[in-house]
Amino acid sequence: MSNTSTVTKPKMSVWDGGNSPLKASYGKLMMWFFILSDALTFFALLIAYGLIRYKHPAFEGSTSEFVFSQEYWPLPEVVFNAFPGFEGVHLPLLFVVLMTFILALSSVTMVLAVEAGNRMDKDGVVKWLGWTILGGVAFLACMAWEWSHFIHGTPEGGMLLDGSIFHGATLSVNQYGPPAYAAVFFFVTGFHGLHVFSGIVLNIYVFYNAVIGTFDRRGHYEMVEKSGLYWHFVDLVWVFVFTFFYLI
Amino acid sequence: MSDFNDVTADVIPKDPEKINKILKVSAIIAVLAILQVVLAFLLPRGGFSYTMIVFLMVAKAYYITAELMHLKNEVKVLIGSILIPILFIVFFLFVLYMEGNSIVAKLY
Repeated sequence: MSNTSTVTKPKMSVWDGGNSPLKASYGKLMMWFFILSDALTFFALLIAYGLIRYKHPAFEGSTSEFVFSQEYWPLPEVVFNAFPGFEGVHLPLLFVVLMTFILALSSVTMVLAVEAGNRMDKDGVVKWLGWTILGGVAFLACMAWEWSHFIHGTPEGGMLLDGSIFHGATLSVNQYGPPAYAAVFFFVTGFHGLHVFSGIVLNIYVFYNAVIGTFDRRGHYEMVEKSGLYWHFVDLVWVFVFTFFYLI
Repeated sequence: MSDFNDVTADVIPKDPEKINKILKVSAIIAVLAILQVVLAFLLPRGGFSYTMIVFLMVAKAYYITAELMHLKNEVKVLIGSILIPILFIVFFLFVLYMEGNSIVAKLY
């Protein structure tokens, strides 16, 4: 008799998988571990960048004396000094700071979307998630402009090792510094841009489901939290890229 | 629209304290970012300016993960399983810093 009753009882003991020690849902937990593995990939890229940069001599001297050369690593504030509509004006890092500001702002709107989701406020989620998507698209647009400017280069160009003048950058040569400089720039910012793009796609999917009321019917807005985690991670990676690529 | 879409759960009213907390954390992150850029221009390039900039970066990363991603509110095991692998990376960076010369010399 007692044997049959134990079969029908739900398995709730610790060793039957009846507890969740991390007190987080499956989806959120998997998002956290995906973020961890993705962080390791970004660390690999940044560490490779660090080694390559350490291998090349640094420019010794003041910023005003700096000229592009294949001999040393360029100063970021001289490479990234352009702003749309102000061609030829020296505005060091201003555009990158604007990009950082846009991405950080879209991160803030994402927290507000998550907060609205916790209150089951559909209108709030739709409003703030919409702004987040817009911020992400604006960031990608800025990045496209920056890449375009980086690839096309300045009118003066820079001298290559064979003495010829080259404008802009490809994966193998660039006017700004050693060949590896443009290569790591493309890889690191490109990989981050890919993450921003996939974050926008994920956010649009969540936005669509919020609008048609999927989460209201489901009874919770956890999907917003999950895509929010990913979006904050994208912002977090930019904090690292911004520091190591543009400031140091 | 169909009545299918009109199924709405009760909206819990806004808690101004929570919103203020979010805005406060955002303001802290913004101040840290501005400080980073200002220090990058003010201080001469070198070990000290790099240390300050990286310190501010870590502070920013703390506020983003702990407050915006709510890692602070998770259970200790989850915090540990995310942070301990990252600590190994930090240790790896330390090893690279001490022994990097020989790797770079062999690579090129």
